[in-house]
Amino acid sequence: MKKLSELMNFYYDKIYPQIETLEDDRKKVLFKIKLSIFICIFIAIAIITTSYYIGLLKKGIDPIYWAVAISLALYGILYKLIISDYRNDFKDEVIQKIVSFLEPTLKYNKNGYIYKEEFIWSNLFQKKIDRYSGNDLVEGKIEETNIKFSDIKAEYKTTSKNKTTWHTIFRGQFFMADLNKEFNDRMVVLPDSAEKLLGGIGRFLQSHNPDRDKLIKLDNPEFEKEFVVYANDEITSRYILTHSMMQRILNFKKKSKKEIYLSFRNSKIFVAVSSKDMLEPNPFKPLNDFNTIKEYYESFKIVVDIVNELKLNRRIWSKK
Amino acid sequence: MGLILAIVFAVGILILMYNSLVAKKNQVDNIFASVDALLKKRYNLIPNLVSSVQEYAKHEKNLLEKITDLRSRAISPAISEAERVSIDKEMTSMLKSIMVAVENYPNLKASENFMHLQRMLSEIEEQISAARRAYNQAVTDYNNAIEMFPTNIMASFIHYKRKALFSIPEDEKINPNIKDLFN
Repeated sequence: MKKLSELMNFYYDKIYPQIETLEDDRKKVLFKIKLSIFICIFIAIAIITTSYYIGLLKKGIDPIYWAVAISLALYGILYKLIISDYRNDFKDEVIQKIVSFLEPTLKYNKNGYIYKEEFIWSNLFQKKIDRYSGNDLVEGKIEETNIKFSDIKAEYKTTSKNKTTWHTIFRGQFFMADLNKEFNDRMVVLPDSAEKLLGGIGRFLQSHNPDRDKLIKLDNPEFEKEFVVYANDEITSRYILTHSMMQRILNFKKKSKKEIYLSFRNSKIFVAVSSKDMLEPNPFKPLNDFNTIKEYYESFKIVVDIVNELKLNRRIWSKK
Repeated sequence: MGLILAIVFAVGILILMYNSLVAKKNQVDNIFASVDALLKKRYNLIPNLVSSVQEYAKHEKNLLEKITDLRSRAISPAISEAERVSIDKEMTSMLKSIMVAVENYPNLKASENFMHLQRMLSEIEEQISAARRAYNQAVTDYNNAIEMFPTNIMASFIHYKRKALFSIPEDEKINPNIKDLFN
């Protein structure tokens, strides 16, 4: 992947004219957004005052709750409408170009995402998914390794008294690649919350988790503290999680400063990094400032670096 | 009534303790069988390795003879577990010295057949290393159960004894196989 300094040259030499035009659009969009915030606040105040006048409060309806709910929902809709064109242009003009500049072998598709089947196949999240969406698919080959990643949002719903609530199962970047080792088993590496909270009892509960394979105890105390590993085979799991691999995963976690989930299945690796959407425009930040672009570079690099951090390009085993 | 309940409870606990000990012992045996299978897989590669090295590296005759001899000792059925472990250790260091010796023969290093062998060997090395670690974990669980209260009482009744761990060489802990020698 190209360096930040190279990106800076590219930014000023090649795409700056388009950026200037987009920056004008951004200012217009920002004005509309501010206006819609103003309108929403006005509507909220209007709802509260009128409801006091007509005495809704006495009927057990909380006007503040409704005012906030209605104006937030309205703002959400307005924001999406206002930003939609700008968002498209931004992705075509900026993200598309940056991605193909940084890593020419990668293809970017703003509307594509990892298939739901692949997400489920990773076995990382076992809750039944009721709503699945994503965007910003990047796919291609880095040296020997086929990779693909995108933003994913997976949710499930609960209903009580005709009221549906959506809960997030996972939101963030979902990455998948070929692994350089051949195996037909499965293993997941998850953040270890139970053992951190409950110590020995947590571990006991983990070893009796009916939804998962066997709990694997590994010989790296730091890794054991951060992650819990379930696999269907004791030997394959250690074949994949060698001492150096465990160290690399720990380093990757430290660097990304995010919650990470890994899965290994049939010679494929899946990595889920929970965070916000990755390559979205932020109308509140000036586009003609390179620092804004730098943030996109950094979040993109974290994901592409999985290949290097985990040395997926190392082909010294019988799998070519 | 209370007495009967207490007896049932105590018997239940005893059964659980017994079963968990047996399960731990079987786990150790199981994984040892896998280690053994992988070691055999490695022994089977050795004739191939010897013949392909022989072709190019005539000066390494001594080394090749030694490893062939080691292999024939390893596959003879009448050796104990402890002997097998020590042969395995010797075999690992012998393979390492062959890989170092090979550095002097660029033709050999470049040959398709040998490269394939190298890949197979480094893969098996890594699998063996993984199996050893799995074995050690199983043995640790087993030994803990044998020494910790209250399962230690049950263990002494059924004559379960401590088992030895595989020693994992220090350098292997850093770089778990011979791969770096030819990178």
